[in-house]
Amino acid sequence: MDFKFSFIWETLPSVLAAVPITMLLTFFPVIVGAVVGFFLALVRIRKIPVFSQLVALYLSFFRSVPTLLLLFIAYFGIPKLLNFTFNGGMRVVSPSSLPSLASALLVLTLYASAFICEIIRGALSSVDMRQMEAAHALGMTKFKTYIRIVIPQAIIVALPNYFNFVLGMLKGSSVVFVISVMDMMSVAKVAAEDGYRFVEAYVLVGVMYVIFSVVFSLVFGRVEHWGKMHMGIIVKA
Amino acid sequence: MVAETFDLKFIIDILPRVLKALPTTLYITAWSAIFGWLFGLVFTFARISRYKVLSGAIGVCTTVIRGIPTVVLLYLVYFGLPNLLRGTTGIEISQWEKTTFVIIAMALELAMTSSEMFRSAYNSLDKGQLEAAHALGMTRLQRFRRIIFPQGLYVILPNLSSAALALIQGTSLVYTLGVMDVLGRARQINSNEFGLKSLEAYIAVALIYWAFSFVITCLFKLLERWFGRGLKTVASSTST
Repeated sequence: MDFKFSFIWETLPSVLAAVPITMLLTFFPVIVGAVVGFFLALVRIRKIPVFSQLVALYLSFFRSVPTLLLLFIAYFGIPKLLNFTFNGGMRVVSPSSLPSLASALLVLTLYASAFICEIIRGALSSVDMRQMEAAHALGMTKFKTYIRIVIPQAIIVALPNYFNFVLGMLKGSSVVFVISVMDMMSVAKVAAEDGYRFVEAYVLVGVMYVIFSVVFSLVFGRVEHWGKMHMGIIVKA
Repeated sequence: MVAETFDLKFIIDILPRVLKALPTTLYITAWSAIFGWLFGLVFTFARISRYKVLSGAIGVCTTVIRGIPTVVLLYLVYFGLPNLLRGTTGIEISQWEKTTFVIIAMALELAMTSSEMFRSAYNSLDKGQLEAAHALGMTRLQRFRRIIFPQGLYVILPNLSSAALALIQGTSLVYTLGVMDVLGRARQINSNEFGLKSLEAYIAVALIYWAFSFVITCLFKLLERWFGRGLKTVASSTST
């Protein structure tokens, strides 16, 4: 067995250079997805006719189709959509002429919104409904009740699941290599195939992902702790 | 300028041909699930055992495996395991089927993620029941089969359902190793069409995955109803 550490050292700089792309692909979707997911969750909870059913369809599609298929569909589908809409059905835009990073961000954001919607819906429904009635009796508007009563409590319930999803997104974003977005995984894959050193390259990128996962889960654990202290659920020892 | 095309009929035409590869996807999913959950159970017992070294080692492995993306794990097992075994024990496994490596990787990931799940389910059980079972003279196996398993299973069924969905989605990665699963087959059909019908081929595969996931979700809902039949809670009716 020949395991060349020198290959890891040679590949490390290029993989490190791809860290910002991986971070962008992780945090952009989960941040935008939290906002979109919140409004989708409201649509589902309020059972707004037609929209609620449409959202349900969207959720089930994005939750059951593998991300890499979604990426492929966006990669080939967006140019076609653009051509049919703006160019009178002539092939002006081709898949390779569009930035694949943009397609990846779009798909991952839609994907994250679907999952975060379910997380937020669960959290919002966990809040005791009698508090809504109490707030109403005190003369609070619906908006105020949400901002002051419902959302703070829902955030505490949603945080662990949300952070779990962020960690999943960190790993899940690695599939963007299928449409050749140059994130950590893609860079390692290209290096592996160039030098024919698969084990070394994947060990390197695997270690990188583990380090990020561990660091993020430590940070997230602290944030959850602060949140609970702030809400008085746990008291400082 | 070439006219842009979208061939709706092509999607319907290739569905039966793509579906012929569904057994490969099912095969990988089923064996990964069986081995993954079985080993997940074993790891859980190791994790909650009194032997600090064993539970610590499993804990570290869990952190590592859970931090690695499925693709990376898959490639590490596929490229690394034959080398590792040849180097340490001299056993040659590089002629094994690709699907075997895939199942090893998928089962490993599932075992590690589900052992965490099983552990929290175990911790959620009322420990007084275990003492009561002990007092009644039940053996460890009886205790597991009659007390822990039925209650624990009901608690984790929703989690098992999402783990199964994640597993199904994960299997789509195997086309990168050249395994002819649903996606691999669709790509092959597309390349026979000179790569002009990529979108249509991928939509066909997406429809298959959508339907497959739907069936699995329904199956788990039925299981939930079956295992929850003795419980007087509203938990099963609120989960969607």
